[in-house]
Amino acid sequence: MTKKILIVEDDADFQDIYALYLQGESYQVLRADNGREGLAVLERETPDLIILDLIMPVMDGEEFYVKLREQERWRNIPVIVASVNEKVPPKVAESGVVAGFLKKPFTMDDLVKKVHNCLE
Amino acid sequence: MDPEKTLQTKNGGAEYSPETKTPEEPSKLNPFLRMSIRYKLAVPVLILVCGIIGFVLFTTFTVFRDMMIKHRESRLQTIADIFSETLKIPLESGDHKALKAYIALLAKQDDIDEVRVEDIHGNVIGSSRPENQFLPGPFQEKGVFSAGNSTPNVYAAVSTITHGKEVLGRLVIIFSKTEFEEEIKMIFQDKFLVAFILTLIVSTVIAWLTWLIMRPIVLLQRTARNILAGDLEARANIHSMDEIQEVGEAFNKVVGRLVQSFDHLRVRTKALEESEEKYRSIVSEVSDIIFSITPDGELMLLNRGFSGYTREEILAEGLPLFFSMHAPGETQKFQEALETIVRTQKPIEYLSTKQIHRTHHAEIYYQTNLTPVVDYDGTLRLIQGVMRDVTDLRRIEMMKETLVRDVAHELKTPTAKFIMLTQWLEKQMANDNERAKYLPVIQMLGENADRLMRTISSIMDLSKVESGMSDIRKQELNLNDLLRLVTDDMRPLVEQHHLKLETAFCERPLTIQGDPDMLYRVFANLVSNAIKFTPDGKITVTSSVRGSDICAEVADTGIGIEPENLKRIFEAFYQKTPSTLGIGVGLTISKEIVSLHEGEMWAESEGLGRGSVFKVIFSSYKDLARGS
Repeated sequence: MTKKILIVEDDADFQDIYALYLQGESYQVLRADNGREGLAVLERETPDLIILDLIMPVMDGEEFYVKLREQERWRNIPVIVASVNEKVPPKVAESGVVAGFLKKPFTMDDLVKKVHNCLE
Repeated sequence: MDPEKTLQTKNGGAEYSPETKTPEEPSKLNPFLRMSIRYKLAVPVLILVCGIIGFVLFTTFTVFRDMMIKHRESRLQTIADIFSETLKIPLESGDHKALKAYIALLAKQDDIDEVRVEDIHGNVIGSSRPENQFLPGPFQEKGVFSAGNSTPNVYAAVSTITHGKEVLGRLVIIFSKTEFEEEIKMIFQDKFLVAFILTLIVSTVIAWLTWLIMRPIVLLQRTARNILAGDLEARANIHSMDEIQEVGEAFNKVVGRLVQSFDHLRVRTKALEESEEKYRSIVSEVSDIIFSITPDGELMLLNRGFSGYTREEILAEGLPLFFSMHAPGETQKFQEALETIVRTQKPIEYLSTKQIHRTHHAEIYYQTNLTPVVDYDGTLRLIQGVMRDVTDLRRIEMMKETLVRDVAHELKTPTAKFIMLTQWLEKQMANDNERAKYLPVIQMLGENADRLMRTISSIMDLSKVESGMSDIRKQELNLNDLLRLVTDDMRPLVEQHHLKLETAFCERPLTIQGDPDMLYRVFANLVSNAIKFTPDGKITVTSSVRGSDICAEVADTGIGIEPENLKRIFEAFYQKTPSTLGIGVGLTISKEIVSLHEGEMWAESEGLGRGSVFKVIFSSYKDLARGS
């Protein structure tokens, strides 16, 4: 069965680039422009992995992550944080285990490698 | 004396003459007791000469006079004897008439005043002047038979008149008009006159000789007085061809030398005054804050007020106010700097402190240089401080940093996307035989995108380091420990590149004051550069002490550096090979960090292919060793 990956990223270009690579690896891609949209998508579908940006309008990555981990049904979905931040913010780290961290800019090989690690 | 000096003397003579500056010291001699050498010489000589002449003349006079008198007396006696022989006949015969005639005959002689004949009993039996009963003193005695003078100008000769053995009487002849003393005097008066004139001549000669001898001394004395009165050009022109001339020449030489030194002193004093004036005006005019602090913590000098306080307020309250003007936490920084300078006696440069303005509470940034003023015997006398308000500079710097950071950041995201997309394209083309011919173009795009990304990262790095420079946190650390940490961390990377990493650290601890994070960065950068530029061989990290310097070296067996590039490699954005190897800001940053630690950093290489050595020296070892 095709694995679903949710991309929560305000930058449409990054969404497209991630999608290009991930679809090339035969994953199904779900998209959300911010945290709130991400939560809305989660209400409808359950992804196998979330790629999360931190700095976003409306609802940022931190808040999204905290809310995600509060819900029992989403608690075990692995999350890869891909951001310009130097490291995972303490608030995020406290809320639950982060599957991977990528500091922008990163190479797509790194992303694909991390995605594979999480899903296999 | 050359004309320039003369001119200076003229200009400055009045101003600096000893008379005006230091009143002439009064002579210790009482002016009444003071006796000129000329009198000291002349008077005794004159007295001696006069005395000798007087004595000779007087002695001659008395001897001559005595001789004359004796001669005269014997003549008178002879006359008296002859007369008494003559008078014997009338006296014997008792012929008074004849006696009288004889007496009258005798009395006719010029110089005879009276002729008297007495009988044996002393009765006058005949006299030329019978009315005159007076006989001068000694001749009244009946038994006196001699010649001699009784009163001045009165001489008498007495002779007995005898017939056979029978004494008949005596004859007294009185010479009243004997003036031979006057004659003698007359004779001697000429001699006295000659003697007097002679004495005068002698005196004049002596006076002239004395003057001749004394004149140079007087001249010398006058010159000395003139010099004392301020005429520094006065010189004693003595041509006496003797010792005094030599004394005069020596005197002139000494005065010349003194005047020369005096001129130098005056010129230097003037220069000093001018420089002091200049310094004073500079100090009061500069916008920088200049102050002095004694080692006891007393604020000595301040050229202006700052941070909303007036100069007078700060001077009155001293250091406590100075400290309290700082922003919280900054006071300690300033205090520590002062303590360090007291301990090490080394200047501290570019100390950044922050103060709060008294009225509008704005933050004011100062950059301070503190310099110790040390005595010749090594004791700290003062700490001189120059404090510059760098608030505006800092604001501009912060704007620049923000701008650079923002621009770089804005460039970074699109560049990252660019890279990601080219990578994707590259992958697609690699799998598509038809489009594989475009692969080199895409790869070139990718390489340039990578390079752009590295440049952006470097700019951000440099900007970060530059902004972080002011936050340097120095602490005591052992350079060996730091190098050990760097080499341990870098070893895996070195081995990954199939290189050897060797270390040789100094046996004793190399204590320095430094920021461990910054210094780590320096040496990690050097080792990573060495890895980049060494295809095979080894990297050697060493530490040592050379005199008062602490040295650390990172040597490699790599590609080496051309001599002309030994300095350029430290310039920002210089790089060895443009396309592949990182943007050259690492060395720029490292050098900056080292200089913040009062150190020096440079590269040495024997040329291309012969490896390179990067050397770092911290030259404050001795003081830090004492401090620790």
